[in-house]
Amino acid sequence: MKSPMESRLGDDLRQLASGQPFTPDLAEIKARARQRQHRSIVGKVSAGAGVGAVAAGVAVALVATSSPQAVTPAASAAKAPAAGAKASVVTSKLMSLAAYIKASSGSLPGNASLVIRTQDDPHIPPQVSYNLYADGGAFYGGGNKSSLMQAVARHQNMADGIDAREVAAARYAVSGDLSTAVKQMINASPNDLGLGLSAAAREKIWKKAMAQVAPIYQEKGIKEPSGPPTGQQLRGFVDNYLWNNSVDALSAGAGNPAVREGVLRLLSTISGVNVANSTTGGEPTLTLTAGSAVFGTGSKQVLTINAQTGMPVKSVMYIQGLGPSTDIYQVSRVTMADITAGKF
Amino acid sequence: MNSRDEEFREFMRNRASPLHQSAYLLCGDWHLADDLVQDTLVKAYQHWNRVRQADSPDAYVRRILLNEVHGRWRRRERVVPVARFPEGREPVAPDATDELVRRAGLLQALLALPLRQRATVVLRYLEGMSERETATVLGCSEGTVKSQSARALGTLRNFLDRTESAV
Repeated sequence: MKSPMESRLGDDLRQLASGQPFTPDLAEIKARARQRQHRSIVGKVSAGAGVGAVAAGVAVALVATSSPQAVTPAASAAKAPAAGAKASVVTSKLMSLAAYIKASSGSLPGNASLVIRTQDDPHIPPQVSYNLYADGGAFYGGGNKSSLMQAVARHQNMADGIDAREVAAARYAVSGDLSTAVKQMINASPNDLGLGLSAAAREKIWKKAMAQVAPIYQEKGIKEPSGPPTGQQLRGFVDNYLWNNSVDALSAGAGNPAVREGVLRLLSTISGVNVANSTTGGEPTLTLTAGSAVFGTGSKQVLTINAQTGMPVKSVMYIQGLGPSTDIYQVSRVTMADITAGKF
Repeated sequence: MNSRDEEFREFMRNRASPLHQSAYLLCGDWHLADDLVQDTLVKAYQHWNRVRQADSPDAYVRRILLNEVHGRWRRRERVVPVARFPEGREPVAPDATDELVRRAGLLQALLALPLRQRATVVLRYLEGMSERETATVLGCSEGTVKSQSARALGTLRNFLDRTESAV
């Protein structure tokens, strides 16, 4: 029960806040959400964009392209070069695990992957989500078992096509040309890089994108780049998109060994990723850290995967100015029929 | 338009205006409120799968808005002086002008409150949320909501009592 003073305060506040219409633009919101998906971009560009068109094109330098041999992770670790470029070590760990997954994977049960994700973010109460990725590309979500069952029963397919394209790119990376797979993975989500297009087409895409994000530059007090990125800067963009989309694919296709294998092959091409042996809950794991080279200064993502299967175990995202946000994954293969029947 | 967009559009249709009103009372500037809500909706759309699965999507999005306000406020380091009625003036028979002046003073006093108190006031008295709901959005205990409300009301009382007593 509110006091007269509290009631009066409510009336006054409503009066003060009335009379100003506000109509948000969904198209603009979607465009900016896509920009934010790769949120480090503005920070990266602010370091000084190259002048001129992307005439040089995109030279995606691949660290490893040879077909891996089926060896155990332990054996491969022993064969890893004791000295040399960091990228080679990365390649060794990830590529050997990819090879091990290929060698050990059998037939795939079920027709969907269920990923139960527990999110612990300092800004919101802990959240559990049930994410169902059907092999056919549909995606259903729920906050618990019953809401997931309800979403499936009502055919509430939330897929926007991006997950399916990312998973397809990962699968292609297993046996296809890795350079092509990299481009396919990057282009799985809307971006302004124009990989594989002509210089004129890339320039046009870039200008359109700059017009959309100009307010963000102004707000941040950053000078707008005079042209598309080139060289090392472009490499940063490529790595950023490649990492984000590959990690998304690892989540969406976690139940599929081929997807995991392809993701590892793709991630092995990013020189700015550190890979270290670790142990999580008594199980051997690999910890992949994508730092400033991928996300820009002050931000990083630490992804922990099972060292035997490549399954995602945990992801911790650090954004400058915010506390870490942790996702814990539980992955299983299921059938849509079992989900409908509540048998999960 | 896919179902994700349809859901989000429906959410915007119902919630954008209340969020905009809250944003204005939190920042005191309509244009800034536009930006804050737009940014909030961008983040809500980006994480829509998480938002829609939250126990209270509305509370989740309000939380995003508060984070946005907090970030902007910190950057701007805006200081709003507390307005006061001129000393010795006792509005005997308040007319429309008096009401406008009083509300303007109330707004200034509200904007001078620490953000947590201001957010508590907006959630409790503009949005009409319970103490428990307010605590959920702010990520604090109900006791904290009570104490923050009491302090805020103590500060704002001057802009609610004086005219009230004169009516």
